[in-house]
Amino acid sequence: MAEALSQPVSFYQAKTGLFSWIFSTDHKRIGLLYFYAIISFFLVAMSLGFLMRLELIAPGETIMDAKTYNQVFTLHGVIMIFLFLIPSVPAFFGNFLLPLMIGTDDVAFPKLNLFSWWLYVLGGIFALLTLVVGNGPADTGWTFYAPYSVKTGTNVTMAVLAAFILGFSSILTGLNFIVTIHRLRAPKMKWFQMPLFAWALYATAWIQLLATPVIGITLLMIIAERVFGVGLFDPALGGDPILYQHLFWIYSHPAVYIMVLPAMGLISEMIPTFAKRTIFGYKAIAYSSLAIAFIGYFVWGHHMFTSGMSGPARVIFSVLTFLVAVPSAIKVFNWVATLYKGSINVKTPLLFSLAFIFQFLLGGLTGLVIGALATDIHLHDTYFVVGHFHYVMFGGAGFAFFGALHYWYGKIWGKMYNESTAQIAFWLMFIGFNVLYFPMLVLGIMGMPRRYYDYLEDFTTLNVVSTVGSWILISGIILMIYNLIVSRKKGEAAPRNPWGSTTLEWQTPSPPPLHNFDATPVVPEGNPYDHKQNKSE
Amino acid sequence: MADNTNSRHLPGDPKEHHIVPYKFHIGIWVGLIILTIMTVLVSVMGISLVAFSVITAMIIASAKAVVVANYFMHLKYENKLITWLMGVTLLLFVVFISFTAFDYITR
Repeated sequence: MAEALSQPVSFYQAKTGLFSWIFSTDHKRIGLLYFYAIISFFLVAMSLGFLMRLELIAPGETIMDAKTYNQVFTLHGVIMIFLFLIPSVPAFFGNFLLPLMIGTDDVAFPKLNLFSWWLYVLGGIFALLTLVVGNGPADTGWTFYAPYSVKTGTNVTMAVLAAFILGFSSILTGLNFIVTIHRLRAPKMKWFQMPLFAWALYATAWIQLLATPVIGITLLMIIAERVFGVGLFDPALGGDPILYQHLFWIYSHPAVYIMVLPAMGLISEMIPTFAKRTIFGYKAIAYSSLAIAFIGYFVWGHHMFTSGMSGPARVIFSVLTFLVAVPSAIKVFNWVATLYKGSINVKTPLLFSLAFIFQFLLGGLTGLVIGALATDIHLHDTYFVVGHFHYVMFGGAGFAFFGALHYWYGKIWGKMYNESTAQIAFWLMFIGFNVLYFPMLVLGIMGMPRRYYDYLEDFTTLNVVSTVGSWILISGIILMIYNLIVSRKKGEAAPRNPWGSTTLEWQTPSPPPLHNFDATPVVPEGNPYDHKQNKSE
Repeated sequence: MADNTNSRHLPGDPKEHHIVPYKFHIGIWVGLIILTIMTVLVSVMGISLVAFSVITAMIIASAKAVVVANYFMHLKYENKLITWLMGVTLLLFVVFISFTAFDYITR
């Protein structure tokens, strides 16, 4: 495909004006709408996290009182989970890339896709309105545990309503992807010729579709408790608070995989490109995505080891939890095996991918420590847990997101980012991240409890280290965003395939035309990551 | 996108749509009505056997659900994959209820 022969109008130029964006049914524009909303919410929640770390730089009240601190960590959690992590990869990268990767012109239900973005915006507005309406934002933690969430005077009802609406947005995205993958693959593209990101999205979409309704019902039950005093969770009325925890985690544990599975899909795309090598164990990675999604439904009880669940139930949930480690480890081994004897090209997306493997490994292994019943009794509700899930969620899903942002930057915005600035930003983020979160693991083992604005003198040194880490991390993020914004104007024009990748989205111009492909994309025979077929590139 | 129009087709999509005569649908409906009457009769006549009447009612209701899914919702004429996915969904639902119940029974 000669570059000069066809330079069609890109989807940016096809239509202009605000309405052409906010009422667009083009999957690429909806993806970008999601991106700008998601990154804005990320920056808000990041600032809240920064304030929390500042409060914890010294024992006692530093910059905020206990109640404010509770509200800040709740809002940080709600925004990061429901408005950043859950939609980040599927709603942005999934929307933008899935139709391109499977060689079609749009998702199966474009109008539903636009509707899901509007629901997302509505949910986001509700979440932010809790700041100014009622008695201030919820102070329950993002889990809204009953009976406290039923009794507190803060604006739990509105926060819960926001999460409810965001759930619908997530369901519609999942439904759209399932139908798209079943029905709209390019002619001749068999299931096992799909890119692994599509497989990851497929597994994720089933979780979005089947688990999200459970949280919808549960959140409505909280509202029913608060408004009508039904007595589902309040022991004083004959209810059971542990029932709430069951219902909450039936969704929220699978939701952890909504956050990390698509991120793993991104890693499976980046690693073969920068190792210039076919991915090792394609089918194993595809099947392990499905296995993680499936087993993820059976393990929710490990969040409740100290909440009064029965002994036998705790043992069973602990055993089942270890099963998730198997498909997760399959992925890690396959990524490492792909790199082995590869012709490695060290670029920013690869650095982020390697950081993902390292940090996800730490997050996963600390997960085993708290998945084991006996150790969890000691570590539950300590900073060990905070360190663990930040390693998985930020060190894993977050780093994959930012790595992918660099990898597909040229495809999405049509310009190349500045490589050396991006690498400096990466190293700041990598060092900052580990300085910020590793001390938390140690603090947890020492016994520092989570969710307090105050702590004992003994914990001071490591808390100072952690807070300094947050400054390094944030300077890295700011530098990265600055680089990406400047490159949008000043970067070199991106060719179709800057990295020599093999999947279909690189066959079309950067940025793609409105209907994605100027000719029917040629599906490579056999494995989609076969670099031998791609030698001429 | 002129040369990619056939992309909006499931590979292995059934080429012809299955047409079911009205009479057949009415027959299914009559069958469902009979099952409903049976449920009522069991609950009225089986008062002394409370547990059994609940189990019978559940079995009849499940049978009705299978018939509705297969014929009215066309599961029988769809790709086998859809039936599998439906089965997985049901299995997960059973897991949610039974695992939660297990905690309560053993507490």
